[in-house]
Amino acid sequence: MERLRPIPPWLSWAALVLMGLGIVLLALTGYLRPLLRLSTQPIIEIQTWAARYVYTVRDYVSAPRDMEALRRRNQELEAEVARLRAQVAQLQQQVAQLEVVAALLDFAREYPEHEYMVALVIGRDPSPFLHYVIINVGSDDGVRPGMPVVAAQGLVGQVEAVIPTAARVRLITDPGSRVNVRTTPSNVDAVLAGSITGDLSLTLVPLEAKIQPGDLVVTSGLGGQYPPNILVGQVISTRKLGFALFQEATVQPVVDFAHLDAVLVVTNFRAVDISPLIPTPVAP
Amino acid sequence: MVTWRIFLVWVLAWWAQLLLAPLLQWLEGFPDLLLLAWLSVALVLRGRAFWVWTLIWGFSLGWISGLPDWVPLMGYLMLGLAWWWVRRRLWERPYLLLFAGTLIGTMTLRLWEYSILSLLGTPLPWRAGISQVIMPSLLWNLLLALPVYTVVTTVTGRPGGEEI
Repeated sequence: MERLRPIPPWLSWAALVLMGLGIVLLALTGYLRPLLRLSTQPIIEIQTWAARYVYTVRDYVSAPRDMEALRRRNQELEAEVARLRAQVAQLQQQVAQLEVVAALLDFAREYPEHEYMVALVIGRDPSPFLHYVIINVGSDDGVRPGMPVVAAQGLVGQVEAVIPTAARVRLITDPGSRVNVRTTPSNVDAVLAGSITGDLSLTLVPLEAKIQPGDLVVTSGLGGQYPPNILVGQVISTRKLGFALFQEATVQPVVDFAHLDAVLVVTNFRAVDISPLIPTPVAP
Repeated sequence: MVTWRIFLVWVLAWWAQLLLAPLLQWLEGFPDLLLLAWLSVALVLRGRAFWVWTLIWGFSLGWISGLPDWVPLMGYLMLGLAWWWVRRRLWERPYLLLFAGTLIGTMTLRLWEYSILSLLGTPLPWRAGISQVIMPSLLWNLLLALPVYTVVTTVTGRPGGEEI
């Protein structure tokens, strides 16, 4: 039997080098990638599983110390958040107050002929039939009955009663309130009346008067109860009844009476009592 | 001691009435927390103390409200008489007494105010007066009667209905 000739060592080396070059070539060209993925996937899975458990155990062992530190830090942060929230609320309140004061200041600049005193609304009348508010300035501050009260947007009402530290203001929406007004640009004099529902209406408007929806309503100054030319509202509709002597109009007030927080009292205006000038019937 | 606690209830009721009650406005009505506080106090008071506190309630309301001074005073005196009459009949059922008092009290005070204001010349249409003011106020009062009673008895520290 013929004996195989031994492979020369150089040939083995050459074959190994060729194989190595081939593998490198295959790897460089990407042909080995599926094979590598297939072979490494189980290893990665096992490593991931092992790492998860190792980390869990590590966290469990080191947790007490970290939890204590975290709790302390959490308490500090919660206290900080509470402090910042309180600060934000305080600043928001100050901003809201400043906005109100700035709006009132705008009104005061618009009507520089008057002197004003800022007052806060501190309550509303307990009777639902009446539309009154209570303000935090009174006779000690120079407030007197009859002084007009305005807000940034326009007319609010009139001081009706005062005590040293507070005053009661009758709103123009009160059912008993009557304000002499003039429409613009139609220039018609009328009487503005409040109502139980807080709606405003123009009464005693002559039938021939041409009032249009959209006309502005300002105080006329007639009767001496209010200074002239303070904005009151806007006409939103008119109605004429065939048998009536006057026409009526509904007015949308410019002041939001539901959110009345601060007002201005016009302190240099004195209401004129004209009742002695009104002739009374004399018995024959 | 009880007098001071009732005084505290009176102060709290005024504060709530002037500031909180208008926030609960429904249509044109809002709860009468003063009346509810008075009813809760009236459940535990008898004799002269009851009438003294009724006068205080009525006088303070007349002083602060835009109504003529004597109107709330007379209203609360009428209410006191009505309460005295109802309590004689319902004394065994304090909660029924509370709700009956709320119903009778609200109607008495509101109709009294409405009548006087109308007589004095304030234009108050009766339909709007009833549907927009009296009925919403009555509903609010019935809803809040028990919570206010609970708060008042907590402040006064008296067991309330069980004593009657």
